[in-house]
Amino acid sequence: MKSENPLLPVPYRVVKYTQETSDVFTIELVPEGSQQSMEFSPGQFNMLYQFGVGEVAISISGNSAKADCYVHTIRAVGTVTRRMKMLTERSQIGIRGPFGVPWPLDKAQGKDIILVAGGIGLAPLRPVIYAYLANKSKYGRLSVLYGARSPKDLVFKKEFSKWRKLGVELSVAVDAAGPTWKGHVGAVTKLIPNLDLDPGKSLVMVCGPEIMMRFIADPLLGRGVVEKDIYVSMERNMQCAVGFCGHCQYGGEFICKDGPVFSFDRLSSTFLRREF
Amino acid sequence: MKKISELLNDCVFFSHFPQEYLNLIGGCGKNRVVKSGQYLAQEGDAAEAFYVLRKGRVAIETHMQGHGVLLVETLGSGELIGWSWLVEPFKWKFDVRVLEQAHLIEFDGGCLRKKAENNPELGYLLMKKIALVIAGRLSATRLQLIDIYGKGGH
Repeated sequence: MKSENPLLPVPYRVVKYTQETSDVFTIELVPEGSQQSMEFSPGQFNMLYQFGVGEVAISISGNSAKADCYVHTIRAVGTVTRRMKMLTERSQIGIRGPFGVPWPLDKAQGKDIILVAGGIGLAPLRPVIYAYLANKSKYGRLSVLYGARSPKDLVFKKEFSKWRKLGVELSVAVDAAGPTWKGHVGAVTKLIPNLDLDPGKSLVMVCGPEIMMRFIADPLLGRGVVEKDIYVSMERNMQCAVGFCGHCQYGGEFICKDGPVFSFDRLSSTFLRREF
Repeated sequence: MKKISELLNDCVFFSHFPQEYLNLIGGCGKNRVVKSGQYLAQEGDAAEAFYVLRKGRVAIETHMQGHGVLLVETLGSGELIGWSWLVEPFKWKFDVRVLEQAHLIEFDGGCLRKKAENNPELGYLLMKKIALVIAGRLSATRLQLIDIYGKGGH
């Protein structure tokens, strides 16, 4: 059962810590003491509370069908997340959530799914891959286009061959690589022109830096995908996570409660406005 | 065996060219297969040709003092290799190394420049299409250079 007060963190314990890259790590968390529901939908996020330091919004990167723990993949980039990088198994943190609008897996039924991920943006999309693999008959093909800074910055590398064996069409592009790298080198946008794409029968989900999402939209629209079939996950300064404090306001929307997942047609007019 | 002008019909780059222009362009092209590891071009050499990659993969590279070879970009099936043949002083700006055996259509840049000079409509169409390729690569390079997945980003 979820905490009755959405502003009250519930204590969880780290049961597994995995270093993904030099600055990205994954933690698995179970509740301390009382039984808590850990149900969530792919695309939702939790507020993770590092006691004495602060709180951050982090998407859930685990399998929504396996509700025995919360899995979060975190990049150590700010005060709170750098402290979280020092967590060990048995460490305690607080959790509020899950919050937010999930990826539109219901609308994707009967369609091909295209995921475009940049950097750690693959983490909020990983639950979609799990959901697809568990229910393949409901969907068409799954293509994953993943861009990262370099081969050593790729997250979830160990799962790539398994995903491919199970039918996921995974293409990876890195910005920079040495001669031993056998994959694509270049911006993730470059993977769009060669994508086997049926625009009327595809649904696209994009997660990464905003500038990447801006640049991804154009080639997708150029291939005939309409704005309402492109979904993006937005990131802002989320603090209360329930649309109360206003810190994550984006035009008329609150990213925490109206998002983080939005169809592109809802945002396209504001995407390039700098004051947003 | 298909004629070059017929092969061009399958290339996205030439998709909006009228058949009469494809026939003209095809007259400057020939099929070529290049093994893995060989160079199609080297930085600073005269850019006498450009290519459409039908199958295979190539790397665009440059050499940076103190850093060795930098892999800038990889290109795959359907992509155009080389625009220096159309822009003075007609010298390759990068090395082009074949990563996986490449099946290419090789075009004689000088031959096509002459045809473009004599037929401004064809020249303008070519220039517009090449400009799209250059703009796309510039945009991609910009994304690479600003390190979008770096600090402060995802």
